[in-house]
Amino acid sequence: MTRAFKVKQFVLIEDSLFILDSKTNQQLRIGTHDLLTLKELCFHAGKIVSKESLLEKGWPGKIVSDSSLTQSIRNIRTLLGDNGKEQKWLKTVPKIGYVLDESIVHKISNESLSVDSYIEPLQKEAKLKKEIQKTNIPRLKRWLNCTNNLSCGFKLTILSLLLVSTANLSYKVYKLILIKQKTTKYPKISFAQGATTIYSYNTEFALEAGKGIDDWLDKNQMKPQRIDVLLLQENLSFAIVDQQGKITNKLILLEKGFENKQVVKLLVDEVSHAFN
Amino acid sequence: MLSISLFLVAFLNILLFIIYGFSDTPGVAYDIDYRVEDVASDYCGRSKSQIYFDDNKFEMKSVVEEITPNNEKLYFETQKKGTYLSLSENVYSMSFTEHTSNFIGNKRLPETPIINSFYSAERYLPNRNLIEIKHRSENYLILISFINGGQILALERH
Repeated sequence: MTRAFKVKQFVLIEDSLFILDSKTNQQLRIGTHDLLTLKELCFHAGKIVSKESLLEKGWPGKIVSDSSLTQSIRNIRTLLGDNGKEQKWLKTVPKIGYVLDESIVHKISNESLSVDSYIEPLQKEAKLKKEIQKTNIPRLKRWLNCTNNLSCGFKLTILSLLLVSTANLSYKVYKLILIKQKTTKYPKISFAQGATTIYSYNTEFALEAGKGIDDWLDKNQMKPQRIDVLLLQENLSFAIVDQQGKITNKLILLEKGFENKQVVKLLVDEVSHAFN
Repeated sequence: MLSISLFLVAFLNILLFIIYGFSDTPGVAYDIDYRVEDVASDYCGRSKSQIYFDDNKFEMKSVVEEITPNNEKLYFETQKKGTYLSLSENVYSMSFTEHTSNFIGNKRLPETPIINSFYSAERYLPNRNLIEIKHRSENYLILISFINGGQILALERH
């Protein structure tokens, strides 16, 4: 349960680094050591609190001289409207410690409405402070939702690996699609018999042309190593490797609307011409 | 049309062309020689090339003679360099990176089929210059090339 005290008009809450001025309803920020010392005095209001105890609570984990405590007491007195000469509320017990007048200290119950009204703005302030701190965190850290460099580095590495593997996979898929598209660019074999191979989307032409060439080869007793023919829409090309290995390549630019028979005749003529 | 005699004006020098898979050994050179005719006009042309493949790079040197339907003779020499990529066992994609030309006696770029094919913008687009090898032998190679919009060719090995 959170403890809270009201010292004169100032409200101190155990877990808060701020104090609230109930007159002005504003939060005040005093030195951390002053606040811790004041809290310790409040916890033991009306009782002597030794210097050692105040030094232990006011500077936790640190070893400091008495002069630090003296300065802190001076600051607290100033806050309370007191001073070392008058010692109205905060008295010095020589060589022992200090005592805070219990008449100005009121313990506030946590459950009461009044303490909530004190705590709430402090909590809001703390929340706001946290958000301010959060906005000061680099954007990358916030995006990765990590707090320290190690976890950020780990998350960033995993993310980078995922990105690289995704990019690599995408490229491979793209390449595969591309290859498929490109490898289907040229027609497949539509006629293959003996030395003659014809590549064409026009199978009717391929069969007629293949038969025509074979007939001519048989008739003239020619035995070439290869005759390869490619018919595209307006291109007819062939490559002949004769029996002796002599190569003949030719491309014929066709007119639109050429009929199969005309192309077959043209091709057979060209083949026969190549052997003569 | 066909009676027009065509002569090659210059000899081919070096055609360097390497395609992994064209041969088991690197540094393979081939000769390519083809004629082009147009059934609709008196145009005809001839191209002779040497191509050399080595270490995924190629060099190609070509000499072209073309006779326009107006009986105008055009001579053209070109040297190309580039790289090739094996897309599958018999399919290769060629990319042209360098191109130097000499239009012998011609001040402007002629718009004739063979030269147009050499200068087509497609030559410089990736994955547009595909070659499909259809047959391999010790002495020659049969392939369908991107040349002239799709042409089957027999290449003689050096």
